[in-house]
Amino acid sequence: MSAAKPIEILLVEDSADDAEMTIRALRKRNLANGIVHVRDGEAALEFLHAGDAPPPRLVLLDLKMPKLGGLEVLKRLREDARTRALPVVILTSSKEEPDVQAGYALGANSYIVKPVDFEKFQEAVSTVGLYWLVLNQAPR
Amino acid sequence: MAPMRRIRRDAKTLLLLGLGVVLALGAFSARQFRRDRSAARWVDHTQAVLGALDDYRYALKAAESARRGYVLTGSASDADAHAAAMTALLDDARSLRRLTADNPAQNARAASLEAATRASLELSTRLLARRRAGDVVGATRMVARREVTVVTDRALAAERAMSEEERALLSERRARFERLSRQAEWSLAAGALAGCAGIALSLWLLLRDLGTYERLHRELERTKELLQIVLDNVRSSVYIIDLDGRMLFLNKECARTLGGTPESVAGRSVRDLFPAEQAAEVIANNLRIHAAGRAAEIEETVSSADGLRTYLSFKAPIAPLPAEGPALCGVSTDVTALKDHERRLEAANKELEAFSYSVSHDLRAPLRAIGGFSRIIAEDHAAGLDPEGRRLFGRIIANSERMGRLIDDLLAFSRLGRQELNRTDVDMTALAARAARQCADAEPARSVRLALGVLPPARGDAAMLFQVWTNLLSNAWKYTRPRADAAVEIGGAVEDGADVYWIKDNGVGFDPRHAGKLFGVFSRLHGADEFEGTGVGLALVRRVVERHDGRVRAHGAVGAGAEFRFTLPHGRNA
Repeated sequence: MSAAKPIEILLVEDSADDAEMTIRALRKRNLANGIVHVRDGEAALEFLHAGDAPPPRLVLLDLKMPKLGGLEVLKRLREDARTRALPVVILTSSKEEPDVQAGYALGANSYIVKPVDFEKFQEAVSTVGLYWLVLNQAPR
Repeated sequence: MAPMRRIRRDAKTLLLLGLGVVLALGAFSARQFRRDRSAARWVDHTQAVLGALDDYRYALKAAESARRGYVLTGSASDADAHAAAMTALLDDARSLRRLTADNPAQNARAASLEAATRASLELSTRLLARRRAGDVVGATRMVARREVTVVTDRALAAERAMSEEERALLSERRARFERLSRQAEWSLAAGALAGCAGIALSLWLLLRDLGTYERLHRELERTKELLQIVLDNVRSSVYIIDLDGRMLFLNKECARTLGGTPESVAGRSVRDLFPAEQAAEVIANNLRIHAAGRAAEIEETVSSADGLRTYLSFKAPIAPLPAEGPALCGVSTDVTALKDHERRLEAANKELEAFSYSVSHDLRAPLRAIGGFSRIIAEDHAAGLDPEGRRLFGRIIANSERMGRLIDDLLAFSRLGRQELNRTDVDMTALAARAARQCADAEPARSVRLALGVLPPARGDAAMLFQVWTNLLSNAWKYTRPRADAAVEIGGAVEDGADVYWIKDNGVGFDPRHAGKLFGVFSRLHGADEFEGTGVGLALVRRVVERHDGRVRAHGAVGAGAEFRFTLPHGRNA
């Protein structure tokens, strides 16, 4: 409706297909009004640390990305005072235990494995969106 | 060694027995001879008494004839002869009394003999005095007088009685002497005989023992020879090493790797044979094993004649040696090549796992896109498709879902190979019950009769073992679906030191000819339209069981149900 609308979700995802399906799932729940999609970690950091715009309410972060991986992005976010408390949910295909361990160690708020099955995927994404944007009380 | 102890005991017994017999016989013979000698002395004594009696009789006669001669002739020589005879008579009588001091009866007779002698001496003195005074007639008459003859007869009678007694004693004592002599001879002969028998017996026993000893010695030599052959030909280092690192004993191979011969290396310390750091490690290992008091298998990397090599060493503490003290026996085998193979194999395996993981992983994203967009079309653009188009999209979606499951299972399978086992004590009864409940909850409309006994606890990775129960039980649930009276039995027992678990069902079973294919990845005995599944479940079961060093087997027949049994080593700690 207008450019002044606050950004609610930053989707960091290199796969256009996954991004499209994620956005569609959120839209179905009416959660995609303030969503921004970036395609790699560098772009994500630039978006979050460059401007003066208020931070989004949720970051959906993929792990395996070109240039800067998700774990490195998370590390940088937590090192910066502005984004230290920002809710970050890792949304990835990796079920590997070391990735899960590292994600939580670096301060991820959740770790969600993308289900292969589309219906489950859709359900997972909308559940995450609902929880973090509707139920959860984030720090101001 | 029992035979050597017997030989020593035999020798000791024989020696003591022989000494005892010889001493006893010697003592007995000595006593016999002593008794015989004393009997001989008594014979001599009796003969001395008889001799004295003879002398007395002779002197009595001599005194009588000298007296008569003097009375008739009055010659001085007769007077002298008479005096000498009388002195001899008195001496004889006195010595007879002394000689018969031991025999009261004879002594009494000797006393009366002496008395008669003294009486005769007095009478003769008177008679000879009368003749010297010149009274030849009176003296001659006196000689013939009864008074004189009575005295002489009394003396003679006493002498005769004594003689008779002594002669009786003589023959008695002679007989005793003879008897004792014979006895002494016999005991000597018996002693000699016993000695000979003892010597023969000892010789026989010693020869027999010597035979045993020689046989044992030969056997020992043979064993030693065989042991040496084994030691010389074994391609491992065999040695005995003390706690200070000194090589007390070693075989040829051990000496070769240490760059010497058994003779040149024996007695040297690993401190001289290896660089300081390696020697210190070897000695520390040995001390640890000795302190634990238990044999152990360790890997040791040391510089040998073949270069830096890794050895698998089996070392066992042995009883302290008499001269060298506590020590270890070791067998070290060069496993360098084996370790290299193992490392290469491990690396290849890791690479393969990583490859299969990344392949499966990377396949998921496009698959999700295929399934996802197909569904989006089916949901949002269904109006633009005819029924056949919609049906075909349904097939695409179903297949992408199936492929998703295949990839997920493959990923789970590959992850299982890389994951470390987290071993704990596992309550298998609870685990099986939980898996069964999960199966029942998944199909609440069905009624499956479940018999669950008490299962032996296991030692292993609880999450992985739960996967085993889940896969086996979901199979049992799946393949009993056509049965109205579906029944599943879970049991377990301890058999031959292993924990055995089984799951039996009365489902559709399988052709035992294909039993071998059951556990392969993606290998199935049923079509996907008959029974769903990816063919990974049993492969996963086998992988988990084998990673626990166990075994899994399947028994079954078409239409007659299936039985899966798996064994886990009992209470294994690793």
